[in-house]
Formats: sequence, C-alpha cells, structure tokens
Amino acid sequence: MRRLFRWFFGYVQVGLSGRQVNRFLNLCSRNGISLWNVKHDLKHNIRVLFRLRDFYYLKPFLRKTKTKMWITARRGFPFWCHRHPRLKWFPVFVLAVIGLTIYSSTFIWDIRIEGNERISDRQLLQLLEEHEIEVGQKSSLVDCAQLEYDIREAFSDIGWVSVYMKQTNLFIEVRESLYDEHEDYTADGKRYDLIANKDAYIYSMVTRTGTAVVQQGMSVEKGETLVEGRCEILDDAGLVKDVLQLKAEAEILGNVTYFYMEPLTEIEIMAMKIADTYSDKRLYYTGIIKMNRFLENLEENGVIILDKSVMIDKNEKSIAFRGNILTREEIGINIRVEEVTEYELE
Amino acid sequence: MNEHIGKNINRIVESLDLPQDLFLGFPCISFTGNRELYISNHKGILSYDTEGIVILAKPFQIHIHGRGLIIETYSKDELLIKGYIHSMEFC
Repeated sequence: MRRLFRWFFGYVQVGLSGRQVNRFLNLCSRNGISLWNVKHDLKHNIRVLFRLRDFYYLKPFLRKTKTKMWITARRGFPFWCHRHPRLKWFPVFVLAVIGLTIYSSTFIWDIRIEGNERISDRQLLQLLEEHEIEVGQKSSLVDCAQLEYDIREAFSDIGWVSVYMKQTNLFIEVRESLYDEHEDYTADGKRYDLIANKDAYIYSMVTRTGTAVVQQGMSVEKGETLVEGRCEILDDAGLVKDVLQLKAEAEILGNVTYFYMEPLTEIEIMAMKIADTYSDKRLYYTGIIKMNRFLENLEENGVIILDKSVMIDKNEKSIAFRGNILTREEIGINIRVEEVTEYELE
Repeated sequence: MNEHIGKNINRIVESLDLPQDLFLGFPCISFTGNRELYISNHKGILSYDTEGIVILAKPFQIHIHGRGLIIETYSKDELLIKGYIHSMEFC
C-alpha cells in the first residue's frame, strides 16, 4: 500500500556527493522529509529516494551543507503520465469504472421472494410497487422494518415475514400460516356444499369435513355436488338423529381437459408473408410460443400440466392452432345451499 | 544538580514501570535475524558507509558493522537498516 502511494505521487532517485552528506540526510529527516533506500553506488556516492513533493524543498539544505545533487531516476505516475501523454486518460477511465460500480451497487438489482405458496409473487410485487419499491430503486430508500409491517397488514394469512437487503438484492421471506382464520364459516351454522367448477375426472380426493358424494375415479360434470356440507348423526338403531350443517372441506384433484384454440390473425399472416418467413416450421414455432403463453397463465393458478397436443389447422383462408391440454388441478368451490331442509325426527 | 535530577527521574521511571523509551528518550532497537535492524527514537546518522553506520541516539552512539548495509527507511523517528549485520556496539 505504501509502495502504491509512493508510486502514485511519484518519486526520484538522486545521487549525492560532498563532505556533509550525512548532515544533509539528518536535516531532511528532521524536517519531515522522508527518504528511503539510502545506499552507496560504485563511485562511493550516496543514492537516495525522495518523494517528488519533497524534492522542491531540498534546495536550502543543499546550500547549507554544500552537497551536490543530481537526479539518477524518475519513477511513478506523474512521470509515467509525462512519458505517455496519450494514455493519461486510462487511469481516469479505470477510476470511473470503479466509481460507477460502487454507484450502481446502491440500487436494487433483484427482488427475491421465498416461501410463498398461496400468495403469488405477483401479488407481493404489486404491493411493493405500491410502496415504490421495485428493481432499479435506490436501496437506501427501502425501510425493511416498515415493509415487513406493511406486508403483514396487507396479507392476513402471513404468519411471519422477513425483509432484508443482501448486497444488491432485496430478499423477502414469507411463512404462510397454516389455518386461515377468515375462511372459517362453520360458526354461522349454514350449509356449504362443495361443487365441481369444471368437467373433470377425479384423480384423488381427501375429505376433511362433510359427506362425500363422489369417489375417486369418477367423472363429474360442472355444477355437480362433490361433497355435501352436512353430517348425519345416527342413533343406536341406525336412524338419523340429527343433521349438522357444515362447511364442506375437501382437497379434490381432478384431471381437466382444456380445449385450446387460437386462430392466427390475418395481420400476423400478412406480416409473415412480407417478412418472407412464411413456412410450416415457422407456423409451428409461433403456435408453440402462443401455447406456452397460455400454459404459463394456467400454471400461475396452480395447475399441473400433464399432457398437451396441438395441431395446426390450415385452410385456404385462415390458420388456427387447436389442441387439447390435459391438466391436473383442484376442482371444487364452496357454494352456500340456500334451502335448509328440516329433518323431522320420528 | 542536573545529574541529580536525571538520576531521580531514572528511579521514578523505573519504579513506576513507565516505558523508558518514552520518558528517558532511549532508542528502541529490534533485530530480525542479522538481516534487518529497526531503530526508533533515534537522533540522526553520524556517518554512513556500506560497511558501517554510526547512529546517534540520546545518551550514546550506536555503531553497526556489517556488509552491504542499506538504509531502507529513514524518517524523523524511525530507521530501518538492511544488509548483513555483523555486530553492534554502544559507545
């Protein structure tokens, strides 16, 4: 480090001769001029290294001690600049790059969200955006503690959240609480059935509360009741004694087939023809890109894609992509049953 | 009179365990093998040669004999000598 500084500010090697060279050296050091590498050369003159800055203060001491001085070497950055005038902007450029790196590290470069299952990344990012926190924002503006508080306020089913900055990344760690307090309707004593919201083939089924109507392996249609929100209590004779009104709860995974159809607009075909890229291969790729966009939308809603098949339907007039997409997803939504049947006990 | 005070100061510094280089102005000398000699609290150089160096310290002079001696650093209060040091004397 010291050597680097010396090099940066420049230093000169001088030869000294005279009767009072030692006195000259003492005078220098006594007056705060640092010197190093004192040695004899072949002609028994003394060679000393001085800082360039100190070099201009030596004259009175030289006169006082009647010492002769001559420069034997010039080293360091100022001399280097003088020798290579074209390259003198290079160190400036290096410093600028370092400065730019330091400056750019004061911004957020990435936001990473971990541990969320039910709350999507997009929801959290939207919240961050409302608080003016996004990629490219100054990281000094982020108040992590306040943000934690805001996230907990905004999403009631978050049990624990931690926001911290690590280097240039903003980390958000989320733990979702297991039970959602707000979804507990059972207290109102009304009956909620679980019905299918799609045509599906039931792949697996776990009933938590209520009476299951359908079974694993059955095909159900849209609107069909899957789980009834009632529970019969039988007496010893096997007769219905009481019926509890519940909210049906079950995890039902069904295989759902989506029919996918997307026509290629005329403008797109025109554009392809103009760009001279109109070919079957090209069409095929376009179809894949479009379908992927569709699939991404599906996957964001927690759907597992099992199988997909897409074909190009080519007429003289129009071109369309159609196919079937087989997915596995949770079917079933809670619907309140209005008519509450009175069971008369005999 | 002056000597009397000096003796007293000596005794006080010794009995109070104060650092002697600070209070009495003694030089602090440390060797690294026979290649390096570091002296702080010196008062200047009396003579310099590759074979021998005479350094002025407060109560005495330090004579260093050796071969290929170089003064690596020389500033107001520290001195670093490199080379092959054969002997050192206090005169």
